Amino acid sequence: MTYALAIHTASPDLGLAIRNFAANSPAATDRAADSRTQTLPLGRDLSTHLHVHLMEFIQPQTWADLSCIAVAKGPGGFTGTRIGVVMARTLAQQLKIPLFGISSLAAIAWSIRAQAAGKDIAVQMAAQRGEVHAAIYAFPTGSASTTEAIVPTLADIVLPQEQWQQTLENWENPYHLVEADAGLGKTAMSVLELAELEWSKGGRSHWADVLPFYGQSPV
Amino acid sequence: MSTVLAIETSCDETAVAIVRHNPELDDRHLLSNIVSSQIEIHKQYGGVVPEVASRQHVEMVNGAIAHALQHAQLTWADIDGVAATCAPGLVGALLVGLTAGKTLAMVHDKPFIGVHHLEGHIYASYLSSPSLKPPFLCLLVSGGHTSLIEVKDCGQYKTLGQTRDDAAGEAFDKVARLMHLGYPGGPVIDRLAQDGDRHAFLLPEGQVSVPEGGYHRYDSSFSGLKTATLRLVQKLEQTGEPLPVNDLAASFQETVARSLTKRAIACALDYGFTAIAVGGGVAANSALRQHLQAAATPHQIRVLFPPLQFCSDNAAMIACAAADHLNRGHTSALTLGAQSRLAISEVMRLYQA
Repeated sequence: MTYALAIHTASPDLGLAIRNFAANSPAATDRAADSRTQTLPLGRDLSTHLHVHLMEFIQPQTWADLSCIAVAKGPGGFTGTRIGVVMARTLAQQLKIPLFGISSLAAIAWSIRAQAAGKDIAVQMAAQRGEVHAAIYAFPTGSASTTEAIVPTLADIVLPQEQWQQTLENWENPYHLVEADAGLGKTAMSVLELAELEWSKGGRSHWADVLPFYGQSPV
Repeated sequence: MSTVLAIETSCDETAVAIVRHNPELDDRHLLSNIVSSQIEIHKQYGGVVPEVASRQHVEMVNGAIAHALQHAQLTWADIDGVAATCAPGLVGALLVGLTAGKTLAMVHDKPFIGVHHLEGHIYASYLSSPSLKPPFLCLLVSGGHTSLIEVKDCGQYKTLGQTRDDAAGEAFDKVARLMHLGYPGGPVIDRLAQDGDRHAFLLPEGQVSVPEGGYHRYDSSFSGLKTATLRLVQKLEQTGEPLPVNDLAASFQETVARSLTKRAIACALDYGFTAIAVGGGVAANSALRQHLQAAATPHQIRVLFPPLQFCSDNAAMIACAAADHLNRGHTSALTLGAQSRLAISEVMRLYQA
């Protein structure tokens, strides 16, 4: 029971990541070696092929090796996000382990934090009806060099395009703007790392509390 | 002997049930039956909103799985297979139950069985009438379906008649809406009809013409009846008098019941069926029950109406169908998809060769 598994289905590709994260973890280099990630451009086949790909991906580990699950909870495609969340909730429920629901926008920001060089990261993603999913994250550097943190200074929200532009114009900190594309599976390892971050702070999120973040009303 | 846990999420009920089937003894034992209805949520929209239904299923399905096992006092060691409805229905809604079911099968290393929703409705009759044996005729009437199905064996079906437009239950919902009675329409129309005159208004039954001349003996049509009721309601509203809702409900319901009965009996007589099993939410309708029973008796045709809890959407019937398939070695691939439409004659395509 020492592995974390991440599932990302909020965009048309399937992103999977697994990593050994024993509490008494070996040196960081060993941990990096005992981790892998995979992105599959499944598109419309995502709902049908998700299970067989996960069963292949998990080997040589088994379900019993998992100590927590992380899932991209959205924003993203309603149906795709829902499928990943249902699978993750069911896995966590059956294996009786914690489930962390991670914002797809936070995972994008986390994945490019090195490029931002101290700036905030603003993430935008096209939403339905001409609106935009948006969030701005800051990365305060802790006193200990090993602890990293992410703080949503503007938490995930849906805005009309113009209002988002205004928010950015009035933003006081320097920021790096990134637009989410259709291939977010590559951020699966970031989803996993953000879950580990919560775990390291003592978070033990229960599956029942993790639901898709749609951002927009169904009607 | 197989014990199957099944999930049903094809429309607006999130349901999980466990059935144990012993084929030697013809015994189908319902061990638990959890149904969580979304009707209250969809009422405000006047009908089922697919995206709302899908979102609700996500919130409900895992709790229902836990309750079903708890209620049956079983553990995963006692379960031989996991089933889920995969067609027909709202694709987004189906995908929730299908994904949960496949995940359960995957993580507990159990066979997976995809089930056709309409085959489930047929199995509701086996669940409540253990002595029922094929061949027989199934009259399936719900908000999404109106079909006369020849039941030959497990997985072997032929559609002999169906609606050309609206389903019978859909007609009830639409007529209730135009009479401002809210959603769902079936129960309220049936209730109002109890105090109404079923001969107060003459409404068209809806015949389906065939190219050779004459009418189709088993197919039905309800959109003309709906439009006629709309015109009638509009005409009555112009008088300024209160709408005679009881008489309208009784006359409308009478027309639907007569139409369905006529076709079911004609079909049973032509094919020599000695039993008609009724399934689907409209099977709860009192006028349909009276008409069909009265018309079948003189011909020595047995009519089976499952209890209401098995007529409306439920997972007990899905588990029942799945257990029979599993006992015969029929299992599905984990790549099985959700389909909005699938003819019941194609059921065996859901299983691996």
